[in-house]
Amino acid sequence: MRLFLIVMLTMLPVFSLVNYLGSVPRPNDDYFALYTLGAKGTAEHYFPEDQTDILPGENLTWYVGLYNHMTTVRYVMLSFKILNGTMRGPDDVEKVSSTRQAFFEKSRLLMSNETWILPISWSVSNATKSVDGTTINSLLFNGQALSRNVVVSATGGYNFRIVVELWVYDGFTGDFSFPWISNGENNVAWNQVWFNMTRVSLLPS
Amino acid sequence: MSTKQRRLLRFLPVFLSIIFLQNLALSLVGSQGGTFDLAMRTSGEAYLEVKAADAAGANVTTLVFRFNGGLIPLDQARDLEAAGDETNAASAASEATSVFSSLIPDAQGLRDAATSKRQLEMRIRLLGVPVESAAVALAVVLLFSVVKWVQAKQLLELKLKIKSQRGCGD
Repeated sequence: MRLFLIVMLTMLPVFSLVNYLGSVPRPNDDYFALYTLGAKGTAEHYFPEDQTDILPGENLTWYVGLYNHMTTVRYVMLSFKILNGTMRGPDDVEKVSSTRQAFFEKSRLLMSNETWILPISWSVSNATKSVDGTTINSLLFNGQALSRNVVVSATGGYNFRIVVELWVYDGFTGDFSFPWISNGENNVAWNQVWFNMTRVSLLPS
Repeated sequence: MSTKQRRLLRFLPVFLSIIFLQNLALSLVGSQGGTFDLAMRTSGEAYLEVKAADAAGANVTTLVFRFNGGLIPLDQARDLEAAGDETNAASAASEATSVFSSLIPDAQGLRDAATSKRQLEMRIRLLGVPVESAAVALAVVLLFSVVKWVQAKQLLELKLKIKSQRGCGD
């Protein structure tokens, strides 16, 4: 009887520890992975014939991918913006988004470990050339004619860029937020693809 | 009552009508933008409930599918509002709101069920600790008893052997 009690009292903390460790979830490295792929679903062929100097009406197909590794479901929004080389883009150091307004936004609720692939097919539907440079006036984006928050000019038609920002819903503020918190830190995710439009004057717009 | 006061009283219905019409106009304008804002707020509330259910261990696949279905009219409402089509934007936003609103009680139910299941598992686990400890203790005691019995038997056999050897020697 004494032996029984001694062994049982010895085993109680051991089994308590084993059960506790079994019930506590393992720490997870939380992150999102945002990427933009070209027409063939690879990190190339972003432009027809790999020509980064595009023409109005030329159709471009990209795939924007987002992987959720944040342990739980997350409500996210992809924000598409068009900027030139001098406009302030998103900042990885300051953890702020571009101040430019988005011309297209798409939101989704992602399961944990889910990858969301958003195909985008777009072209510059109207652009004009002037002494100062080229101005993009409207886009055709996934079948939608868009002119709001699209108008942008670049000197000589160089260094336009499409910027994709990841915004994540914040339960405290009740709105989407550009930096999200994971592992105790502010994190941001964004992509950009540069292109030129120097040949606008060669064809009627 | 003075003449001045009587004159003011005559204009009172006019003032009140102006104020009423102004408020009516403001509420009409505000309600269309408000419909989209309501849809956004409801989507946020629904998301938080689905997230809570997921964190509790519930299977939220169907809820996520329904939620993303609600985002289609919400995105349409955003685009329509940007294009200036307030009426259709409000209609799409209302449709989105009803989808998100219907999700909330379902997510809460799944969360509660998952929480109850987890609590039961924890109780079973807690009860298991003394049971497992007692089982190990019993096994040790039995093993000890068997060892003792074997030793006692060996000792007895040895004693009998010695005794028989002494008897032969005599």
